Amino acid sequence: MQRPLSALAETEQRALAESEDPDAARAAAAEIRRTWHDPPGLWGWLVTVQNVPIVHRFMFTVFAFFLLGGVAALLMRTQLARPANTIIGPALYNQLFTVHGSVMVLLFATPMMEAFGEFLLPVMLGARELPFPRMTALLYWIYLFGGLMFFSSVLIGQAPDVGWFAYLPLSGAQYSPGLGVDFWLLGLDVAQIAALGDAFEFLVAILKFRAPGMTLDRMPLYLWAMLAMAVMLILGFTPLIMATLLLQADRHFGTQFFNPARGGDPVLWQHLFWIFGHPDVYIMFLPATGIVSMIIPTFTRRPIAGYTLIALAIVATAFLSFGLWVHHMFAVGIAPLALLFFTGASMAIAIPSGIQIFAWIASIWRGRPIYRTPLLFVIGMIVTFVIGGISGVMVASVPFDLQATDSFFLVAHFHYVLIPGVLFPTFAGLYYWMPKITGRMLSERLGACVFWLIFVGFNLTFFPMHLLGLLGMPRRIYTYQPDLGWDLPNLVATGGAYLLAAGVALFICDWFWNVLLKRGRVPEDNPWQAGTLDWATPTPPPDEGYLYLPIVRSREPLWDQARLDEGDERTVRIIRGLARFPTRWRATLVTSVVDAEPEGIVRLAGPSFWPLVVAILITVIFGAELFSAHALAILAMVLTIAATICWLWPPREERELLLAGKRGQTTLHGLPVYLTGSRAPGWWGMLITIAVLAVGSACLIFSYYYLLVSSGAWPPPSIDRPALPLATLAMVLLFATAPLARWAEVGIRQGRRGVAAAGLGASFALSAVSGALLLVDLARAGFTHQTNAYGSAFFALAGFQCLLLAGGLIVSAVVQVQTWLGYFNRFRYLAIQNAALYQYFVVANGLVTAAVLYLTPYVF
Amino acid sequence: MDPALPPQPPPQAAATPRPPPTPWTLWFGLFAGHVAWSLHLMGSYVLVALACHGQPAIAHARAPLLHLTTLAAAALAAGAGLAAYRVWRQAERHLPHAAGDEREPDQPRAGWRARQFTSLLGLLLSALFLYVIVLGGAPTFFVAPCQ
Repeated sequence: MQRPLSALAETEQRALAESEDPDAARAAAAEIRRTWHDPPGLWGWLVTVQNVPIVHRFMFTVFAFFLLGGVAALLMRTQLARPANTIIGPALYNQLFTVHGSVMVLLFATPMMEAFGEFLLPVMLGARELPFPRMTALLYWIYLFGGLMFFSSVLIGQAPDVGWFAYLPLSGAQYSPGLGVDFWLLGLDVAQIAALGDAFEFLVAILKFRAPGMTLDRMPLYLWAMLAMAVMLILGFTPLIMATLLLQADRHFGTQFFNPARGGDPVLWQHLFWIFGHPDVYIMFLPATGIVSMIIPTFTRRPIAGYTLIALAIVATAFLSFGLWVHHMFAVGIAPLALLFFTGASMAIAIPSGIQIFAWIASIWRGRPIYRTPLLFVIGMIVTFVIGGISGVMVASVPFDLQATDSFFLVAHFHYVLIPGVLFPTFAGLYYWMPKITGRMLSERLGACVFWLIFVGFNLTFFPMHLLGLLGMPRRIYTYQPDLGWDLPNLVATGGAYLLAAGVALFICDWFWNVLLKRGRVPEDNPWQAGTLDWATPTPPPDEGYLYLPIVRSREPLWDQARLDEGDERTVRIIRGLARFPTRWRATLVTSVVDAEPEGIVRLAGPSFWPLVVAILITVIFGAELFSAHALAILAMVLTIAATICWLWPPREERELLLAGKRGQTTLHGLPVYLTGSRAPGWWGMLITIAVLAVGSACLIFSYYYLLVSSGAWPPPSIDRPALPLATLAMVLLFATAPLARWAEVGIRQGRRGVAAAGLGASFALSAVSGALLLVDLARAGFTHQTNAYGSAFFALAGFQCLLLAGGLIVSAVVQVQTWLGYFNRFRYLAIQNAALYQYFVVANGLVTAAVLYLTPYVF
Repeated sequence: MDPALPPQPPPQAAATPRPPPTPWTLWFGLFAGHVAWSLHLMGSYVLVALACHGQPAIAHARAPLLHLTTLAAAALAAGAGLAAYRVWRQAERHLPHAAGDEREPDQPRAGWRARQFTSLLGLLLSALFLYVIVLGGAPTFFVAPCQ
């Protein structure tokens, strides 16, 4: 039987039929495909930067960690099945709930959503690849190494045991002297860097790699959710990384941020942790709602109801989620009026969540639902998530929360949010996209069994916990006495947990048999007859993704458009041109942010072993710190910088300006190939880097003022106010680097390489002097980072600025060398532009930091 | 879902002009509501913290200061909504009212459609944040800060 062609294959056939020289077109297509292929064998496996093979191993690793986290949960439930059980002692129990929470949130749910994104974004956007392919590879490796580092603590019997939020003072050096907390901090830090990196990929892909015609209002809702997720990763994960660094500094470098005896405050940790922790719920949940909003139209055979309202809900949730964190701290002792501000926001966030729920119900109501496994999981999600949402509104109320806090009611609440909100959509997504990801269908019959086992098991496990909480059973106890009325609900919960585990085990069987052993049905290219571009390619997607990029004119192009290759003449010419040339380097199209009109052609990196090298080095840095081997850590850091410079060194065709065929030519198909400014993915990458660093700096400034308010005397009486002259001079010099950097950029735009080199050199020299002056000032301060919390905050902020300056010096040095080597001209100057952009940020951050450090003590 | 649709007609040479570059008022309408709410939340929180930690000048004037913060934030959010509304009206004028027409034409109407969408998003977001600001400002009338 003739299989129907994918929309992309149809486009290709039509283009060949209409081509004046079909043989040349075929030869070009073959060469492009060769360019996109990975090298064969193990080497190819190690150096690949393709999103599809990376997502295969990413999802596999994530799922393996999920199973380990699940085993921890089963052990806990087994212990709690009966009163006064003695299977597990209190020490192991503490380790189990810590490992379970940390793994499920940081190594399973968030990364699983990222893995879906890494696979779906290129195909759904109509792009050939993610914007930073080598980074995709790097992120997987560091996620893997970070996860393994975390789990190695279990092997050596030093698993962390302080809860997944590691409250102080318990997690401080005094009460947790072992390695457990260090494993927690450093292993998860590595994994968090991986999460942060995905923000770059997603943000740039969604803003710049959309198919021509995919205006903002034609984006699939999943892309809206991923856009929100990317922004939240930047704003949320950076505070967590900063917080863990501060805690690590307190534990091993003698700082006093969290030590009340020296003016510190343990509650500062709670603030920093929950500024990450609460948004992270939505970092996991929003992409999951995106999955739901993709599955519902497919299985109800009509576009989603309330597209605009759902997009609004996604954006509003992302924003509001950053104003709720204090509701995790209602019982800490913050002023009651301040708590009410956060109650308001916590209740208000139910509005956008409610909008999404009602829009989904309306879509199912008005459509013709086809009850396949993905839709079953989605309906299960809608039914049960509402329960978690409503108990969330309950605990947003301060008086109720004070009763329910630290009880099993809370455990019931957040599992009712996270399992239906994230795990159900994950399974829905796996059943839905498995054919596209792996080229095999999962079993529909087994799928229904998996759903019912998980659905019933989940409710049996967690619904009784509401009751247990209201009956007064606290969280995190390893056993309880009989006759408290807790016996039966606990037994039911344990039974439910095993049922849930059976569901997951059945899913693994399904996957093992149908996908791994390839016994499953080979699907058509669009097996569910979905409407969005993720189903336009052959199955699984070829290496080059789209040979002919699609032209979009609707939200569901596969439903509404007879052809994906019709549009205005210019766009059609570009698309057909891109399928003919370039053939020797990996190219994709860059489009404008709002209207998705073609703006340029960008070169994407090919296979590279640098991501693996850098990932190993980063792991060595954190691993060395684990055992306080500072010299090794510094060596690894230097090597990381060197490896990164090698990684970023432009290849020959780029630096000799040969991308467009011959030297001197700078456009292809009427579009520039040496992109600069807001057209260039690299420019956006620099902008996001700056955003991350700015958030990091903001966290330190927040900590500084937080400690100021909580300590009262600032600086403490034993310390003088900071002296102004040297710092003022440093800032004047630093300020002067901004116009110099600008001068360099303007110079190269006019093709004057000498001016660019001079501007960069002068800016470099002044930056170096300014940094040296800051260091001298720190050395003469009369206190150190160990003296008290004031000293810690002072040195942290000033040190951060010195690090930024040092980073700028390295960037500037590399760009200067490349300028002397003649790699830049008036068309290709992105690196100089980025160096200048970064320098502006260093100047701005320096001025703000100096104002905070040197002027605040004179004001308060 | 109707896979057998005829090919799209060629773009009409209608009198619709291309939308001008995205005006700054649209960005203001999209994001100022959020900024207003963030400032309100942080401002109120810091004011209460300072008032309760021995800054007598602030403790004395805290109620008027809190109300003033709410008023300023609410005004900013309302201004954002107004800015978004004006962009929305402008986009509306360039779009025919063909309800439910998902099979959209090429530029320039698609550009206006995108602008209409983003400005509507800004309008709704501003309204939501205005509501949350009022919600956050209300307790300052009833609850003493440092009990």
